[in-house]
Amino acid sequence: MNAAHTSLGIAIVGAHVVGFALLAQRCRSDEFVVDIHGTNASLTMSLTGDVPSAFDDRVVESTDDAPSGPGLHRKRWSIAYRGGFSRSVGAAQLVGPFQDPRARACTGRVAVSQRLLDDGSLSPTTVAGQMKLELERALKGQSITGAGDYRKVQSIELRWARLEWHPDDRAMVGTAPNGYVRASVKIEFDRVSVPVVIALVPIPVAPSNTAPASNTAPTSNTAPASNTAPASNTAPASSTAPATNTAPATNTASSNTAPSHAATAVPPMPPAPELRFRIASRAELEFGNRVAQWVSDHIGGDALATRFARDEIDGALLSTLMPPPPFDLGNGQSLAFTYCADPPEIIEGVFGAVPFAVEIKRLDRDPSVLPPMRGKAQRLAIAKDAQLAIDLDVDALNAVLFELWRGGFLDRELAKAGLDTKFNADPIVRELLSLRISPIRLALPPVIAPAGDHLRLSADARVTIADGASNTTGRVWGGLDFRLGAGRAHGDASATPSKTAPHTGSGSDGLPDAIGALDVELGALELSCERTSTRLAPCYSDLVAAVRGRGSEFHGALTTAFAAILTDIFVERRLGASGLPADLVIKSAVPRVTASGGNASLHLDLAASLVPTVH
Amino acid sequence: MATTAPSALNVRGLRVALPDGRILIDNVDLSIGAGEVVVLLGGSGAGKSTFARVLFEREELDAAGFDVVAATLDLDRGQLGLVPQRGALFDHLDVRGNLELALRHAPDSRDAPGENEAATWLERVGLDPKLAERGTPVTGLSGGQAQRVAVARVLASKRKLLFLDEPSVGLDPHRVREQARLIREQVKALGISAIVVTHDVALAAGVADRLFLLSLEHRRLEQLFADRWPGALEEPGHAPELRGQWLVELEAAMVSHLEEHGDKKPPAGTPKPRGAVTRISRAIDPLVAPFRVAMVSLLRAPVQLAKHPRDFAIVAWRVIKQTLLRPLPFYLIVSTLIGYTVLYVISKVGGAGVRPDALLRQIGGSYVVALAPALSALLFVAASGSATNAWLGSMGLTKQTLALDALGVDRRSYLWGPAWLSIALCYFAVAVLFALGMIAGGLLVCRAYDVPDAWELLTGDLVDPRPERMPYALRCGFLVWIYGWGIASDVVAKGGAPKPEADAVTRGMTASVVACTLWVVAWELFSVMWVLA
Repeated sequence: MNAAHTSLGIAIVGAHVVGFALLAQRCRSDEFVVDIHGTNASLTMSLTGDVPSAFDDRVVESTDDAPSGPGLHRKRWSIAYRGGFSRSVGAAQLVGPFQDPRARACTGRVAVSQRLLDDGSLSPTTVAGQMKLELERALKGQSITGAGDYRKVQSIELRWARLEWHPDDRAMVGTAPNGYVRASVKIEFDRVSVPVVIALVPIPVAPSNTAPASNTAPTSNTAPASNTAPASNTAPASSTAPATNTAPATNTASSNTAPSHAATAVPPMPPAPELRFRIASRAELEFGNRVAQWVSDHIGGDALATRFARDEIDGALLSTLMPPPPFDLGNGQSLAFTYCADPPEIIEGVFGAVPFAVEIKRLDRDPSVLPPMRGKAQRLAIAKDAQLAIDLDVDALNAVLFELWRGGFLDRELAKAGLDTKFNADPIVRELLSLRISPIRLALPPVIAPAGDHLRLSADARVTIADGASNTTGRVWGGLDFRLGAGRAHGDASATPSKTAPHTGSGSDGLPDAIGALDVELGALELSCERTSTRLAPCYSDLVAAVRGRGSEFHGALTTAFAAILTDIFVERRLGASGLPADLVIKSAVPRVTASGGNASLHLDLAASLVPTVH
Repeated sequence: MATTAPSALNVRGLRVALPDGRILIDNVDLSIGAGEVVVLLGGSGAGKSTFARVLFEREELDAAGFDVVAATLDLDRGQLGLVPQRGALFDHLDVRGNLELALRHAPDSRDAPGENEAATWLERVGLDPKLAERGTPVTGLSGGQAQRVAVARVLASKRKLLFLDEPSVGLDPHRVREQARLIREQVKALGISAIVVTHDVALAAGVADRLFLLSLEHRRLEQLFADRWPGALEEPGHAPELRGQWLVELEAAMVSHLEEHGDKKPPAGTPKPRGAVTRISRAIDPLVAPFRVAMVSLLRAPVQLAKHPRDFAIVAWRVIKQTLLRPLPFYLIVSTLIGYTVLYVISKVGGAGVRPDALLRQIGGSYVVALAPALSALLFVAASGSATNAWLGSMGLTKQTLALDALGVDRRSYLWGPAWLSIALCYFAVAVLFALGMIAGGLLVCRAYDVPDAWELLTGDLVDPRPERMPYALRCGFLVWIYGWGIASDVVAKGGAPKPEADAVTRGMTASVVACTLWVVAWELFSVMWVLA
């Protein structure tokens, strides 16, 4: 009996050994994992996940707190634990509707203020000032029969105009429902002063694929002459589609051969619309007698005006009314902005604006991945003290981000930023942590969406986490909150730039001077680890929570980094096509955001000036 | 004196050899008739107590390596009662409790003795019935009172054959004679038999119907004055001068025998051949005994609880007091101090520039999960386990366990089951209290560093662990479970082992601390390796 009891007792201990091993094993097998089902992009959030039944009663499934509507959304399966800890697994999906690469939606706008057009003092940094210089250079030494030798340009006045305000121009201009640029120039010759009035009516035109721009003049206008001048001439249109805007876009399509982001070749993109000017003019040669008037008619004063308009005025205007120039993404790729089909918008004496589109192309390996589309957003008016403004709807921002991502530019920038090396080389990390990370790679295009009083940029990235001998692929979900136009007032647009060259300095807080009033904060940071490509598990949660808790410490660095990107793309740029008399140089920007109805627009008030082209 | 009544005990050819082969008792024959009182006289080392152990502790003798052989051993164990030396009253019970325990376990007993039954039995042995009032401790009795209570207890157990081991130890001559008369009266009144083992010539002459001497020369039982012994001298009818003559003669015979053979050692014999299995099993028995105890206790505790809930409660309460309630302040103070110290040290680990609250948040309640089982177990073994071990050991040393057996109370059911279960439960309680104490210490540290929601934080790993900490929480629970019954088994096994001398009690305590420490260390290592693997 004793032996039996003893044996039974030992057997029970043995059973405990086995039992513990099994329990521990079961404990491990009950890991909180989620099997994800769904595609990268979908018109509605279609991600689903299977959770082990052991967690059925306490797992909470939710979508992220990112703004609703189209965008990059994250579905999260989370469990809250006592002590303020939680474990969550999340997967991201692009939710549509999506932008159509062939549609070239007008998601952006360049607005030129009356101040840049003509500040009243003929400053050389304005269009009027440049035009005066060009006219003086062109007319120097010239002589007109009957009028005598050229002496000087007496006055030049440029104005964003609408016919309602200038009924006298109606006969000359004809129809200009969207407004026009009105130039009044007075040129003094030996015997006569020639006042010239020129109207440049912007017209977006569907392009011809083959014909050069100069051959595609729109139908000439036959505006009646003024009562004091001969009938105005039919002005030939000038080509206003700078080669620099369209060529890179085409090149991008053909040269995007990056292994991971090859662009699709079919169907071919339709060519972008072009902006042209219809020119109408009248010149009034002020002679003291009818004989002289006869001479004027004979020499063709209006022809002189037309020549001025074509050669000098519209060239300067084109420099200001161009979409942002292409941005070189490296590897032969570029981010291109093109004119689009919407008509220009001109407000009498305030500004003139030309809409533009961001060129996007499909991703070869997953054509369904496209930037989401929210539609047109309400835009802010140009600031009184700004010379130039660019409006970028959320759709434009997302198209820009998509293109930067598609070409691998963002991944390269992230690699250049060296987040991984900074993390791995951090003394605290080296001292205390066993894990190291690889460069971060964006798996889906980052997406911006309005979120209350700010913009939220959401990104879904991949990183390889090495912990000892094990390597795990981590899915990083990051959210950056942009607050613009409040707080930091940096780079006042009204300030006169001290230099004409691109400004590359930085402020006392390390931000580029060129970008003002921008705050970027870490709004979200989550990590899930891939057990397989479709099975996710929470990992390093407390570590990530600690980093997230220190988000304020990244504030300065994030703000600096994104200010630098904005600066690279939109500021410190020299705009101008070859052959134009001047480049437009943007020196600084003040960003502001307007949001309403689930949409938003980024408004950049730019400090800009015209700089003569050095030929 | 011849007897015609049926034998209460019939032993023929009893031989007992020590483990080394020396013969302690050789070819002993003894037969006792109903209503007869037999006295066994003998010097120190003659084997009187061993004879008693043959009757009451045969298994322990076998286990200890004694060689016990008998041609005939007719004995109804259930009818055999014992009055151990000095009474061996149960000190965890009051006087009434001692008697009622015997009454409850008497062969034809009711489970609940009558209200005055204990007092009646005390009166029967000439004691004040007020001693039966509840709460009268046995430790307050004089030696004579204790012996009488012991006699009353064995009488109350209604056994047919009483074995009285040195019942006159410590009594003055007057009380010795009273004791003798008491024994004679009760034997007659109850119609039972008795074996009295004594050195005391006066007691022997007073009660004996027959006198035997355990011979140091032949190691046999030799009847003294077989033909002329007049019978118990305390019986009425014996002249006082006759009593005096017999006392002198009896004493002379004893002294003569002891002078001649007193220093003789037992004759050498051939040690009992034992196989390798026997030797190995004997060597490892101390190691495996806890497992045996665990099974026995596990099986018997529920039965005891169901059949004798009062007995169960009495033993359990005693164990709970000494393992949980008395050392409770110790556990609370030590655990709080440890919790505070551990978290304080951790908060300083990062050195200058590292936020202590961040470290504390990372640690959470993991220090409790990791340390509480082992620390509480080791302290429990040292404090509570040793207390119960000492109690059980002292019960063996003072023959209380033997008395239990003699009352028909199975020590394994009465003591081991409730003690085992109570120790295990007390350890669970101590582990919980210890964890709470460590948390309390941690709360003090958290408070110093303004850690928010510290209670939730520190209890999170215990109450609602995160998945990656679930194995540690599981390990914690498992360790508490296995430490609880492991420590209980070892304490009961070591404490319940035979205690021939006082040193055995302390050896048992030390051995238990060592064994339990090894038990804890082994499980700590095994579980942590498995979890970390």
